[in-house]
Amino acid sequence: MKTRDLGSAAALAILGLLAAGLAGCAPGFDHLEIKIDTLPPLAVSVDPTNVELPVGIAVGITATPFDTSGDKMDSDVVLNLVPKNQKVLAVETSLDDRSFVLFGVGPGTTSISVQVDHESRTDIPATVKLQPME
Amino acid sequence: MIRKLLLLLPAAGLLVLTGCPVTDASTGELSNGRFAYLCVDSSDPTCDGIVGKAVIPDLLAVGGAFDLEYAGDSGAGLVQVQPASDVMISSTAGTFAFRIPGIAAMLAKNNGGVVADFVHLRGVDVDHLDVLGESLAESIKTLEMTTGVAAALAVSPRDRLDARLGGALAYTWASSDPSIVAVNMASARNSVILAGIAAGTATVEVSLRSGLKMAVLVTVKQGVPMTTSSSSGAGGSSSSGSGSGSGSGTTTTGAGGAGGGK
Repeated sequence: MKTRDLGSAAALAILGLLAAGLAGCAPGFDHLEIKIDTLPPLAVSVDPTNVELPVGIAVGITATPFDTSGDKMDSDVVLNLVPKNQKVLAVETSLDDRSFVLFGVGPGTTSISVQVDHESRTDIPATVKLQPME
Repeated sequence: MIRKLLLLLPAAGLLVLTGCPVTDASTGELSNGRFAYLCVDSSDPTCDGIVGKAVIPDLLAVGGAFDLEYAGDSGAGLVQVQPASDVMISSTAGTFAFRIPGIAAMLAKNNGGVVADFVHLRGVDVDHLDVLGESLAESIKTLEMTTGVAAALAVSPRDRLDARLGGALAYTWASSDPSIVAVNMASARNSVILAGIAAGTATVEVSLRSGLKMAVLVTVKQGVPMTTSSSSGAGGSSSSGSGSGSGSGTTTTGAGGAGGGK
């Protein structure tokens, strides 16, 4: 009887370990995709590898993180885009899920830290330039 | 047929209610609400001399003060409107003004700092000033008036393509010879009431702080003397009436009186 109990407990423990292992092996962040949602009045370049904006121009985007399996990460995965220098470029969240507004604050270069579940995964270099004179 | 028409009436009413264009608001670029332009004083030509709401003008004068308000479609709570970049647009005491020419976004942020919406505005340098006469329809460079009769002038800032610019600007008006034509400020800073004091010519000049100026050559002709008038007015009329040459010398006293009366 005792031996059977011990065997069940061991089986349960093994199952628990397997489950924990499986959860830990969930595919991690692989890359970000960015869709521009608005029509900026001046030329901008916004993609996962580079951001270029003129001073004063705002652009609305939707950013989607993908995992190593090529799937969209679950909506409960927290995605933050954190600018390193808000005097050059600011990024604010917008009303829709994973929507952000990027805007050029002042001329200069900086980067945006892509944080997935509060861990920095990659940086996007960003440049903000003065507007061309008409 | 009548029953069908009666059935259609509520639908028509609904169409009228929902189809009314909102003329004083512009949809934000995220389509979450509407921005309304507010003239901060009556000198902003956008609101045609009235302090109130208007459609956001296509072009704003650099240095011209304006305000914006935002109403979210889903009632996003308290929303603050602020410029995306203070390099482009200054924010002073609840009003905004372009610092330099260009295009700049105004953001509508809620309490949590979330950007509910934004809109881009275009600021341009004032290239020239148009001085408009009584009709406010066309710009003038000369004006004829008679003594004892008031004439109104208004100024409208324009870009190099002669497009009208929005925003409230601070103007200074001056007469080259207040003994001939006196300048009295009207309620709006972009307009004045001229008073013909004596026969002659004088230049009325309007200028911006930037130094940009526009002048109107005003010719004042002797009006018909009033039969009932105050003592100073009667004096002015009689002295001018004695002859244009000596009249101008005589009316200096009258101009002093007019100047003191301003």
